[in-house]
Amino acid sequence: MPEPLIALSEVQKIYRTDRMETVALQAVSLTIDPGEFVSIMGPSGCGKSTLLNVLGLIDKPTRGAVTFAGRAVSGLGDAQLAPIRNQELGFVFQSFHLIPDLRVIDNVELPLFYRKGAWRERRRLALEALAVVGLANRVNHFPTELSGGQQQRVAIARAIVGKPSLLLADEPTGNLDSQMSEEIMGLLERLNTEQGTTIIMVTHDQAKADRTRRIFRLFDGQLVH
Amino acid sequence: MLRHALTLIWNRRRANRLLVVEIAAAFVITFVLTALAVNLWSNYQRPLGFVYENMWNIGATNTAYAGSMFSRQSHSGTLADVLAALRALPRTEVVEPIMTVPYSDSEWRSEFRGAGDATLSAHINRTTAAALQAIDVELVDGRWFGPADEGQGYRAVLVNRAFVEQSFGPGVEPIGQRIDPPGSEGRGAQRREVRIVGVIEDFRQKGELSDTVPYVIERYEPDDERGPTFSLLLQVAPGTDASFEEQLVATIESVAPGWVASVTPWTQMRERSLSTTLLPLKIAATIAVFFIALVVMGLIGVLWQDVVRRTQEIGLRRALGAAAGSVRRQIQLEMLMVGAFGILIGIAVAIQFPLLELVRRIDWAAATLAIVISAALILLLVALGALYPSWLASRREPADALRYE
Repeated sequence: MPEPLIALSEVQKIYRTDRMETVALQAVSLTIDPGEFVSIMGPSGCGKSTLLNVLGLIDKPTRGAVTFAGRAVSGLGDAQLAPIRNQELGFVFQSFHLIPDLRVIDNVELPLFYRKGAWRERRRLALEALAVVGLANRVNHFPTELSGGQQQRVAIARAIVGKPSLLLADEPTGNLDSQMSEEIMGLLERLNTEQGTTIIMVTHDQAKADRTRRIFRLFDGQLVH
Repeated sequence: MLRHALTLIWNRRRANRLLVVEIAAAFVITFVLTALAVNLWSNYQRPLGFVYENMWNIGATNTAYAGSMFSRQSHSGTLADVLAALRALPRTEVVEPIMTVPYSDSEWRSEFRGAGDATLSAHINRTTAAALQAIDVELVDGRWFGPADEGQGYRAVLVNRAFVEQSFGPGVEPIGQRIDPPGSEGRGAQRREVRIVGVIEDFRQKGELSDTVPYVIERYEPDDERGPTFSLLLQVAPGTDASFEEQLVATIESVAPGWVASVTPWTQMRERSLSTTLLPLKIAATIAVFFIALVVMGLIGVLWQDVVRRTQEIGLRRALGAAAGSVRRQIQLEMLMVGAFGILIGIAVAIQFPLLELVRRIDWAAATLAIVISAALILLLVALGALYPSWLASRREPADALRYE
């Protein structure tokens, strides 16, 4: 049995303000193996994005343990987490989160900017990633000059440029029309099958979730089966 | 990092325009104030050219002068009596006539012959060699004027170094040079050739904060046809107290009926002169500090707004693998580069001050130092202005920063 790529054990996430506490995740335990394509489903506000953020090491659980490739990561500080995020994880957000003042090529290069490596090598890898998503002819455009689908493909190119072992996609087709959604789903499937990238995708769409190997259903911050 | 920062700055040039203008304006204001402060400080550090301790000024007004034709001969005769009476007093060391006392409000200027046919405007005074020696004026070339110049066809003068530098330049022997302005020859019988007999160290009659200016000291002649002198320079024995003032006044008024005398120590005149010079500067500095505080708050506000606007970007960069410190450093580098660009524009404006001589006190020496000080200060402010908001933004968890709107 292979070692899970990522595992959560009894994870709880509580958001606290001066006036109230909101329990976003409650006793969530799950494991995801290398090479899997899984989806997370649930109604709005059930904690899907919070779960994805905890899995992506960009949010800390209030309680519980997170293990990445056999290493306990929930207690690590920013300096130890940053290289794991940079080298092992890739993010695709519903609202793309491209930097509008950077050209497509510079946006894609961004994760490599925080690694050691020559500028030419970064450029080569960024062009390669853009070719994978079919945007090799848009390298010098600014994000605002692209359609929503193209922007999401740029975001995917940015997510895969560093060849991460885990890709986290938060409703990657949520802002796209059906044709664009289909293109993006096809792209994620190809990355999973052809490159063996593990993918965790948050979605509202049952049809898209059905195309993944496993579905985690979340309700009121708890996993339901 | 530098290439990335440059790319971002260039692509955000429209958004950065306000910041650049704000920084350039803050730089120019800081520059003007710093240049003025540098000029005053550098003046204060320079030798004054005379000593003022134990020196008193005696001012005298002849009440008969305004009402009738004044006889210069009778004035010089009375003055000689007054001088003799004062010299006989036990605490008097030196007493000599002088036209304009250091630290007094008045100044005299006249045109002199400069290099070639050019004229040079210089401050002018008239006194004796004994007076100059009493206040430790240093002779650097030639000789003091004195009895050898009595009854000559020329008027003997001493000039300071600044006069020599501005009038003749290097390599010209000033002693014996004629400096009465071109075209003045034969203009009335009283016109005499003006000849340099000695060069003194720079002498700043207006005090420690004043600039060094060309200065000419004419020899005092008792029967000078250009009018009487009513100021006396008095050197008293160390430790002489104010009670001696009454004795001086009584002595003068007994020897010269109709004269009204007043006595003021030079230390008192110096304090008054410094406070008169510094008062408008203090007011200007207070207004300026207030103005700079406004500019700094504005600058920090603009920087704050700029960094807060980038909270999502900071979250994104951290999600993509940047450590919080790395993001902070990058933002500060960008801000410093924008700041440096604003300062370059500010420098282009600032050098117009000495270039076009817009403000007399801002010369190249003061401007150069002021540019360095102002640039360092503004860069420090920009760094500090960017430090706190970028620290706040990078403290958020990346997921939290990505949600920020």
